[in-house]
Amino acid sequence: MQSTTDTELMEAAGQLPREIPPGNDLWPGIRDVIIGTRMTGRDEHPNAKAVAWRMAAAVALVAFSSLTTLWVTRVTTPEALRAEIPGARIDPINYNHPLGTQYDQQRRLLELTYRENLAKLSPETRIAVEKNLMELRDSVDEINKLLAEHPDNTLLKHMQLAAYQSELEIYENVNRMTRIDLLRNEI
Amino acid sequence: MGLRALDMTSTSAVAEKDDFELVDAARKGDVSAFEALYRSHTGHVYALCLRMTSDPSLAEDLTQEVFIRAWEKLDGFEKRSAFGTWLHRIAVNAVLGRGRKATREAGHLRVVRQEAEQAIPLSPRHGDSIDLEQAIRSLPDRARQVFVLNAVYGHSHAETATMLGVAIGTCKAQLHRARRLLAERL
Repeated sequence: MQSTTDTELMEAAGQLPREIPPGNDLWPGIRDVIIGTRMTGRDEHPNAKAVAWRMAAAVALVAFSSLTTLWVTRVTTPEALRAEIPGARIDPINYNHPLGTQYDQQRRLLELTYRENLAKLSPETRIAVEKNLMELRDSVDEINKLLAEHPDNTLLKHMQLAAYQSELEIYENVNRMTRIDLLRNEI
Repeated sequence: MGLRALDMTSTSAVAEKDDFELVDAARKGDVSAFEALYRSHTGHVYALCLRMTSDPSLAEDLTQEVFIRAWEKLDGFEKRSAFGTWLHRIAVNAVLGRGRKATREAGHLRVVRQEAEQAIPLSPRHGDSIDLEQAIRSLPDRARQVFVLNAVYGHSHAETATMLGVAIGTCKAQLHRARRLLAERL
């Protein structure tokens, strides 16, 4: 049983002010952090920072692959372009989310021409292009893994579309350069 | 729940409705709405952190941590309680989490500090009265935490014990200890 003094103590404790303002304005520090977290999304998985890095790495790889292929196909000499390489073959990239039948058909046609033209490139150029496609494929795998973990992530969906586009750009660059070379020889 | 600090009145009901609207806006990324929530609740959170830790600097750190955690977990707030009640829980967990971390990192230093605090005489005295806040701050850590949650914020023994991760008997014993120490010092 509580004594009168004890009861008074508990009552006094219950009547202490509910609020005490901090000596400093803490908001600027909080704001800086939450604006930073908004970049990766609120209530993300605990390893959100790691996911963001993986996404950034995938984006960088896709961009690098496309640019390298563009550069390689533009600087390659006409003689090198004519070198015949038998058995040149690149497996198509496997995407989990096809964009439709019509798109797939067009991509297959482009890829078929690309395979024919790739065989006409010099060994160095072909290896460089193949390497870029492999890197692109790794990026797509990484993006697909992340999409499986975060199926509603809009940024990842955009990245997947960008990867589609990068694959087509690689095919187009190779096809265009071989067409230009053929035209030069005809002239 | 007997959370004395968050009794519902018509005024607080209006505030709660406003809080929910601000929460909805903040969930959509409105940082200014979250700032309004911070301005509205920071005094309560800081008071709790200060009373639980007796360290103004640490209490400020923890207050920031509480609002950052709240921002990160905002989508998980289901509005089944007042926003202030939800924040209160986050604050208690943050304080206890920091305490566990400090214990792991420097257990012996903590014991020395606690013993030193117990030995500090309460001063200055003003006649027969002494500042209750100051007396609470002078309590040993666990006794202070139990007293703050139970006597100041009105949590039941069961709630206090659950939050602190101790048995109800331990909670009652610590409260008894806190009251005895306060009675001696006041």
